[in-house]
Amino acid sequence: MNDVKRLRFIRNFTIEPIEPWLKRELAGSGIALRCEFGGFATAAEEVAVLDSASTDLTVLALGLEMSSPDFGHANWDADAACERLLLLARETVARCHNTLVLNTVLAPLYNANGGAGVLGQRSAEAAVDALNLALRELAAYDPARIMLADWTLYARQLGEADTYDRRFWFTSGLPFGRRFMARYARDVAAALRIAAGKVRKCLVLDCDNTLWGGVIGEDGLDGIQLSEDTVPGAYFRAFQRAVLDLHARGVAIALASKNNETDVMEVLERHPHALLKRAHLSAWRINWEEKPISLAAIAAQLNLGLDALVFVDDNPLECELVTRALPPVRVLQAPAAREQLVDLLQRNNPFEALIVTAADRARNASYRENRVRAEFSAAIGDLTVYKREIGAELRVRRAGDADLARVVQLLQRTNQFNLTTRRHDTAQVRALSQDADALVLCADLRDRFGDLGLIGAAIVRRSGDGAIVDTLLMSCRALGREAEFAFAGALYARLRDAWQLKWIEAEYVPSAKNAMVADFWTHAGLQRMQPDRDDGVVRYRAAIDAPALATIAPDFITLVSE
Amino acid sequence: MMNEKLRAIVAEVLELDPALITVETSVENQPKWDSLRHMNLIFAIEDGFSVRFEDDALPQLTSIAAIECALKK
Repeated sequence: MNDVKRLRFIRNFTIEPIEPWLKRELAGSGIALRCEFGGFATAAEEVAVLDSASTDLTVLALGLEMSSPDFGHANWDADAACERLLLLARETVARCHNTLVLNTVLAPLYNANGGAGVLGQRSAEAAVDALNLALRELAAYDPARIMLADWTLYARQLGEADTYDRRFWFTSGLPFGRRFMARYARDVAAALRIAAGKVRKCLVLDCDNTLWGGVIGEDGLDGIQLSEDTVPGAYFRAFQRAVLDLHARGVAIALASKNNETDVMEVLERHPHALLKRAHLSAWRINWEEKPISLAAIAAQLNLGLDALVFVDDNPLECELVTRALPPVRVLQAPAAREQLVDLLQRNNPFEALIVTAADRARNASYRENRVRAEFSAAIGDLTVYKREIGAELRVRRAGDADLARVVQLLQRTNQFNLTTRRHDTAQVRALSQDADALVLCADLRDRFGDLGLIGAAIVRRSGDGAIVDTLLMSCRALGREAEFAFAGALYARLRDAWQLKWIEAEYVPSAKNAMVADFWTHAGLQRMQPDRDDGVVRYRAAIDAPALATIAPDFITLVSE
Repeated sequence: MMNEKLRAIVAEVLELDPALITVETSVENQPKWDSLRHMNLIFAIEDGFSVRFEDDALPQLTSIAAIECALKK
């Protein structure tokens, strides 16, 4: 099922050629595009009446080169041009309430005075640098919502020959070359995936000739190449380093390798140059199964969709097999030119994110703790005993300013345990958290194995002498432990005791991914309201003092309400 | 015989059924082949075949026959 996303481009150049690249970037993601392009010279007028309600993503694509025929010449008024562009960007940020892509701008490639300064006058380069700095600060104002497509970075990575293509500039109004447009498309597509809640979360790696040079089963621990003093060993070690950077950002790391598990684990634990250790792994399938089966098993174990996986393998046949069998998985083939493995992950940047929060950085600890919990559970056998032994504690409290980034992030990307999938942005959540007739709650979970951090959020609005649940969600990391019932129980208690309300209403809004919570409200003590609505939304209600509501919190979770 | 890789690229960019594309397909007889898609098409062909067309060749590349001929040079 395709999820149609509406993109609006406000631009001052021919940006339409970005569309085929966007489609390629989004192939297999389940996102279908509808692009709308504004006029070439009407950006200011479009921004003045901008209403982002009908679009999913707004791209403000403005360059300096396109705004003045004097650009780069001695008589170009760079300060005035930069100021106009900054004002427009500021107004767009103020008027646009959903995800927005801004861009840095490129200074003239050559100095109009042949490199000479003009006495008493700021150079065009300095004016453009100042503008880019102001644009970066503007984007940082709301990093959960605003992405900066860094044109200066693309130009640095690509160089003059691949940034510009003058063949289409004078006649068709496109100054950039195809590689620049492809690079730009990748970032816009990433913003769109984030807006759609489809970010990738797990890196699955092949081992032989991907994590190290050679074949461990044949070459042995001393024969594989992983030393930083020689090539190709140094390439593989640099690749492992990049993997650890992703791990530090909260990307789960998994292995899918056709090998003996003991051989692979020996490399991780005992090879003197191995950076990636067993402790970094969230899951592994080291066996003789086909890779698509291993990848599906890893996704299931980590409670992730296939579209959350990125797979790296050097074998073109394995890559092809996974691409065909599991289209949602992003496949990166380790290049035959082995030195290109060094920055394969950075170059392709498949793990899009607008912000990295403390919870992201802690996530890997919790994936790993989940693994330990699962092993513990297998050892104990009986699940209720396990749940008691694990000593879970759920802290429920009002969301403060420090929690907003994480709450908004959960709203953006939680798909499975999400009753309504309402993607409120930072401004909306902040307003709700300050509204006397609304309640934004968050929940932190910890147990004897570790702290999972902020894993649940709920938004409730008062309506007369009752309350309507706008949002209830839990991170997939925290599922399977009945913490959701503890959270709901804490929510009911707060509405009853602190707000002294009489009734509560809630909804289940079906989406492509949230079938697991279709019956949640019934299990949580509410009564289904009849008749059902035509749009598939199911509504529930209960008196707040109904006995069923008082007993749903499981007794094996310690509830701390603040 | 038409180059199949070219057929696939043209079909993707012009959003046409590959079976409808022949060497005779051109700007003249294919309304979807407008100036914007022409630019997209040139980019996609340059990408797919690792070539770069000279700017004076671009205005002539308005039919599949002409593009095939240019790719053979």
